[in-house]
Amino acid sequence: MSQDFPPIVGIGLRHLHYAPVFEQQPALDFVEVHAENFFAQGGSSAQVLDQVAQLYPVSLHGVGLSLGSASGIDDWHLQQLKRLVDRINPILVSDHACFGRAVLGRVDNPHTHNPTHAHANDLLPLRRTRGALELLCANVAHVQDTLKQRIAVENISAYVHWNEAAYSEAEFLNALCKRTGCGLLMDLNNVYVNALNDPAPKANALAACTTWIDAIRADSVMEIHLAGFTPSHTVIIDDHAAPVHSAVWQLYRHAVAVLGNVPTLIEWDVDLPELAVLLGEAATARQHCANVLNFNRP
Amino acid sequence: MSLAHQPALCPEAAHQNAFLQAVFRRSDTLLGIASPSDAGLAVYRSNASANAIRALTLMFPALHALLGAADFAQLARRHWLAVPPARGDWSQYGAHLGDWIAATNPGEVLAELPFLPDLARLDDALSRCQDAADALPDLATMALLEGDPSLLRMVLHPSVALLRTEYELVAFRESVLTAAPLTAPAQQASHVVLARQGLRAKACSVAAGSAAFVAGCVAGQTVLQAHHAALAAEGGFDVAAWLAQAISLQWVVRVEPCALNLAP
Repeated sequence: MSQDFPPIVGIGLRHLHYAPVFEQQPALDFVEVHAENFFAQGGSSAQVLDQVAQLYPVSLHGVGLSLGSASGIDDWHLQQLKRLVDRINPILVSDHACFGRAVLGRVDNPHTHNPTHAHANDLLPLRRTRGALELLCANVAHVQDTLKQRIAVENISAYVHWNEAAYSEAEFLNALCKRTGCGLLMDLNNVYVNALNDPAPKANALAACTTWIDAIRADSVMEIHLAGFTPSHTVIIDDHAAPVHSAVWQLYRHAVAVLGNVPTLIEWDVDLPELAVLLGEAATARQHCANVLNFNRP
Repeated sequence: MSLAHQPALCPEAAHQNAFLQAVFRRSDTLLGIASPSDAGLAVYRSNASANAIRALTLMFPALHALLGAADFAQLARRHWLAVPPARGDWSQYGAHLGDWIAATNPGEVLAELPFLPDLARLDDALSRCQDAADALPDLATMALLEGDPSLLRMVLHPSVALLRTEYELVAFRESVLTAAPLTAPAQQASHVVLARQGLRAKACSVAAGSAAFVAGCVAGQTVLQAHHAALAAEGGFDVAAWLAQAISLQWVVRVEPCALNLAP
């Protein structure tokens, strides 16, 4: 496989790196920011995002839409996102195939007319049932209709496994993309962490991941996320607090071979290193992608 | 909220509600989980409470500095469990922390730090001030003040807000944040104006007349009504001195005519 255009690589931009990025203005194809960090109507965060948008194409990555919530989408949240999208004109809008918002009040009382919603502000796993798919599709369609643009939905790390599953994860995500027209944000670290946390033998983890990648509709993938996790003897946490694991680089090369030149992002959210370390990870991604695609810089 | 679904009626809602209740420790039961239920639930509980502590630490810097990291984390975790976030945006969280401390006296903290609820309210007010909308001042409109004040309105910056506290906390908060020697704040009813200067939210202690004038402007009263309210609160209120201070502190955006006054 060869490509005429170079790899497209960006980094997740977090608070600690605002100043060095403005100062150094490193060569990046795009940056990704957490949408909720910029919901403020004014002040310093709004100014920072305006500055960022003048330097780089911006991808808006949400963590709080709760796209799979049976309680529906919080209209306030969606309106904040829409305002931000209209202001920044991002190259991509994304969030996760999960829920975070549900009813915390009594649910066994059919006369409860004012249930108390709460938000975990975490990415809680969806069941892969027909009902869950219906809800996710309806919510994603609602978001896309409101934003008037296609969004990408990311596969998450899950630390529990539901008994009932009508679909594999790839089937579930493929069906979502097919029915709503949304894209997939393929997080390879999440795929690998899930494989490691699966009760099946760890020796099969990489094979399970490549099978997962192969099962995804290639034309749906709009972006790839790469991140690190902290190894553990118990449950492995997708904490984005470490360099990309060698196994995830291996999966990345496989993904590029299968999917082609997909925009790729390095995420690092906790225990942030110096910017140079993050840029080094981005350079590694660029090199892997170029090697797989036989792209030679002119 | 989208009304496309009836949450209480579908199995997904029951599963999701049960999951959330387990995360917030209202129950230890996850419906329909194969494995590893206990370890997995512990991860979600730990992640979610760590996120809450991190978010509240950023929003309540003075409270964090005064209590220290460990005690603040304990307080934040208890608050998160008792008053969970309603939205998927941390910046919308924490507004009830001061009231919650006052109502529950967690760890009997009020015996030693009775001003803690007010300090939390001040941190929260500054955090919201920081995120308020921008507005460019149009000081040329100040010339309109030569006219009839019953037909004029003063528009303040969107970040301007008022806070009434039972303790004098503005200077105390600065001392906490700069690790300066601390003297317990005086128990004295105080008015604080929050406003952004440039990009930085600042708190300013003001007299009762100034607070009443700001309140009147924020409520959309005419300049005359706001002035009357200020004089009622403080007999010697000097509107010219207030205006000079307000302009220097970037509280005022513009003066505009209001042909029809509907404000009370």
